[in-house]
Formats: sequence, structure tokens, C-alpha cells
Amino acid sequence: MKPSLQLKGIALGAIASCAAFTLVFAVSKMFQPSSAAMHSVGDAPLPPAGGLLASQGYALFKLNCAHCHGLDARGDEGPDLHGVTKSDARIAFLIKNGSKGEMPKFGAKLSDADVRALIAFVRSLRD
Amino acid sequence: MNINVFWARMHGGATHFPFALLLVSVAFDVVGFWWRNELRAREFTAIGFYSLLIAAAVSPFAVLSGIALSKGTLMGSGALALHHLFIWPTFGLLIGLAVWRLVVRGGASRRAFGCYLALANITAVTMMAAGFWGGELILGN
Repeated sequence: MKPSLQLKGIALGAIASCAAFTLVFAVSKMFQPSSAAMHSVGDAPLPPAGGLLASQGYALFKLNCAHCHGLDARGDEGPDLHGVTKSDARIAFLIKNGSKGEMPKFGAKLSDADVRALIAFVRSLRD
Repeated sequence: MNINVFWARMHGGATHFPFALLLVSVAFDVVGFWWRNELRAREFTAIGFYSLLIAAAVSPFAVLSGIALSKGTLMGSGALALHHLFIWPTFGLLIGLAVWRLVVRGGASRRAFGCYLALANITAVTMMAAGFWGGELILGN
């Protein structure tokens, strides 16, 4: 009696885990930005200036930075990025290494090219 | 409030319930497993059982808010990838173990419960690793 109950438990546990992962997969699809939305990032009026590099930067910004700086970069938990006066090197350092307790580091996530694109986006922001 | 900030706060709040409850569950189950007084041992494992059930019940909220926060990213890169590398096995094991306990209740043999405890300990360790890398995403220097 006991072993069959335990085996039944294992089978149901495995089924529940599979069901949970199926749900996770389905839910993740719901939250992924649509390809149309991703394309529209490049076509969007934001950033108004700065060219292709800034547009690429905006796409990265939406995925990595907008959580805190807001979709319009006007700030939320993080500061407003319009009219930033820091040097490119300082911005790159902050993106890569973060600021403890204030901003996460993105050095492992973003390449140098990504960081350059983000800086181009930040520079394109106008008050 | 920005929707991303909302999900970040929800994730921060939701993750700590299953985290703490799983650790409590494992601790009480281990104590119950070794305790000599059978009545007291059952009480300890009952605490472990209900803590595990609640941990499994609230874990989907933590997962859902995390998925929303990462915009549907199931793996990602860097610290996010490491966070996911540990959290997905943890989530699967947590749900599976809770269902097993729910089905078996008090009918598990000592050997089977020992195997369960080993897996529950592994789940607790992977959850701590996931928590560490989740923290690194926010506070890493």
C-alpha cells in the first residue's frame, strides 16, 4: 500500500512540476515584447535625435533601464536622464559597474557596443 | 507608478515568502526526522508539511512577478541567467515535493521521507543560490 502511494505521489509531483513549467512558459510568452513592438522601437519618434545608434540604445534602454528610469527616461525610482552632464566614460562606468544600493551593474549583461548605444541614447535626450 | 517598478516591488515582496517558508519547512522536517519522541516528531513534520504547502502555493506569485519584471525572459544573461539557472530547478522541485507530500501525507516510509529530505535540502540550497543572484542583480557591485 505504502509504496504504491509513494509512487503515485512521485508521478503526481512530476506531473505538477511539468504543468507548472508549461504555465511558466505560457506566461513568459504573454510578457515578452511582441516583434511588432520591438520593430516599432526602431521606428519610434523617441529618440528624436541621435540616429541609428541612439535608436538601438533606446531598444536596450526599454529592456534594461526603463524599470527604474521610466519609459520616457524622465525618472521613476532612478533619476531623470535628460540633460545628464556626466562624461561618456563616467556613464559607461556606471552602466557597467552600477552604484551600490542605487543601481545594478550591467557589465556582465551588456557589451561595450551596447553601452555605447545606451550613451548615444542618453545624449539624444533633450529637456 | 511605472508598471516595471510595480513588478519589481511585487517580486521583491513575493519571493521572500516561499524562500522563508521552505527553509522553515526543511528545518522542522529535519528535526522531526531525527526526534525520538514520536508524538513531538509528528508535530515537527506537520509544521514542515504546512510550511511547504504554503511555500508552494505562493511561489507562483513570485515566479509570475519575476517573469513580468524580466519581460518574459526565461534565461537571459549574466546575473539574471545565474538567477534563472537556480530558480527553475527550485520551482520545479518545490511544486513536485509539495504535491508528493500532499499525496503521501503521513504514509511515507522512513526511507522515502529520507529521500524527500535530501531533495528538500537541495531545493533549499538552490533557492538560496537563486536568492543570492537575484540580490546581485539589484545590489551587486
